[in-house]
Amino acid sequence: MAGGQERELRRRIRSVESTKKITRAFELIAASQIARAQGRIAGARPYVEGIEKVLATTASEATGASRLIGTPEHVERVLLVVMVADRGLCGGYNSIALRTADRLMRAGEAEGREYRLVTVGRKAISYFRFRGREIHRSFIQMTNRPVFDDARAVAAEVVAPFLDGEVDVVQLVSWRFRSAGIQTVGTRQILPLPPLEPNQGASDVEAGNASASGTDAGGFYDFEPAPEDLLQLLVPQYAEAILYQALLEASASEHTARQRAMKAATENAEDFITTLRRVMNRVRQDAVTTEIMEIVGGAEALRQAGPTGYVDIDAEHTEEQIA
Amino acid sequence: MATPFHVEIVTPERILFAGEAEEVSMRTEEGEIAFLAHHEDFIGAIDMSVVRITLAEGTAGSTPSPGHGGAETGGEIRAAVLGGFVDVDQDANSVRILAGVAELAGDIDVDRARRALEAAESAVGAQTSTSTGTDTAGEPASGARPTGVMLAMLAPDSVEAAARRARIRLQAAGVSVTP
Repeated sequence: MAGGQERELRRRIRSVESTKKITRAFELIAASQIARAQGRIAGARPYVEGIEKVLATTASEATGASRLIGTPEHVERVLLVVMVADRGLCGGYNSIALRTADRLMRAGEAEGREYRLVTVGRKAISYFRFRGREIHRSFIQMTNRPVFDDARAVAAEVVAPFLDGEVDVVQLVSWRFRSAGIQTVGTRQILPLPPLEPNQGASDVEAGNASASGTDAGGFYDFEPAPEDLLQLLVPQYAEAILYQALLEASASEHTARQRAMKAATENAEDFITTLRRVMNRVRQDAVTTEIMEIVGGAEALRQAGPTGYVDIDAEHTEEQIA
Repeated sequence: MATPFHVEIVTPERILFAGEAEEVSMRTEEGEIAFLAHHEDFIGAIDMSVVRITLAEGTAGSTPSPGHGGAETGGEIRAAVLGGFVDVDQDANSVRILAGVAELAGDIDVDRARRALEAAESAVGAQTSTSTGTDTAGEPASGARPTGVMLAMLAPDSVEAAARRARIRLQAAGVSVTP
């Protein structure tokens, strides 16, 4: 019976050990992805900032483009983009973002708003389906290693309905990667464009330069085509750039969350194995002790009862034979 | 020797090219445009076009992949820019090209571009023959098809856009194309 218990424990240790190998592998993979994902965020920054600067300068000159910029006074129909991962095993990464989106929609619906859902990531599909929400369009296999074409595909799905007036505003719920240590879920307005300060945008980009003409930088620009037409072209490109950046940040956050979760899981497995080993060793020790006790007890019993009986029998036989 | 100025081609993935140049030219909706040093502030939409950068003497363009696109001192760099924006800053004496898709001449896959051009042209041929046959019934937007800059940015999936992309790539790579 004692041996059975030991075998059972041995089996469990083996099982936890193989789980640990898997979580350890996931942890290492995620860790290697973080650096690359961070590199891609840095690589995208010049483009995003460049587009923002051009957009801010153009918007400050364009007239009659109010629908494209600022906060609309009347919001009834909202297109909500939610970005999560395709896979789990990344702690609260998916559930926190999805809950944030769900809460946002509930609050909005209480005020009579309608939501059209566009999701990125497999995990969003099951979450919203379970809650009986209709998903207008879902994208998968983007967040592991996003490319610009992915952002284009998402942008195409959100820009057209906005420009056609099917929705009043486009919002995004996603993880933002602030640093390797800090990631937060953020809700942002993508369209209409958030009101941008033209000179602030310019000084962000030209931080190192002595921009003496900071106050009137917008006034002397030549535009081709006219600012109003240029803005029509810029809006889709801006949405692509922002969504690309958002995808990259979500991806880096996902890898970070997964690395952290898998590191914790690996450590848990280690602790568990230590505990199981300890229990198993005690069980084995007990079994060995019991066995020794049995052997010693048996031998002792034999020793006490043994000599007389043995001699007696032997003596009888001898006597018989002799007789 | 002309005064050099800073030129950058920036794509979403990376800075494709950054260096000192004497002249940079491209196509906008209005036509061919070239910038020299200290050009006044300008923001424009770039048509799908070949961007030519005349490098300043004695300075090599720093590209992430050196050796491509003829990045030698005092030479010319060509890049296929498939729609984008140009931002000229007089104070900074710089020209920044922002492009969703751009490729340096040396990075262009000529065979692939050729195949894309053939495929797109045969598709265009098929489309025009069917649309003349069935009149305009099935093609409500045929009259107001975007062209030029608008085509590059507003209808990137159309076969016309695909054909022009392939053409620009081949031109940038230095392959002559029959119109």
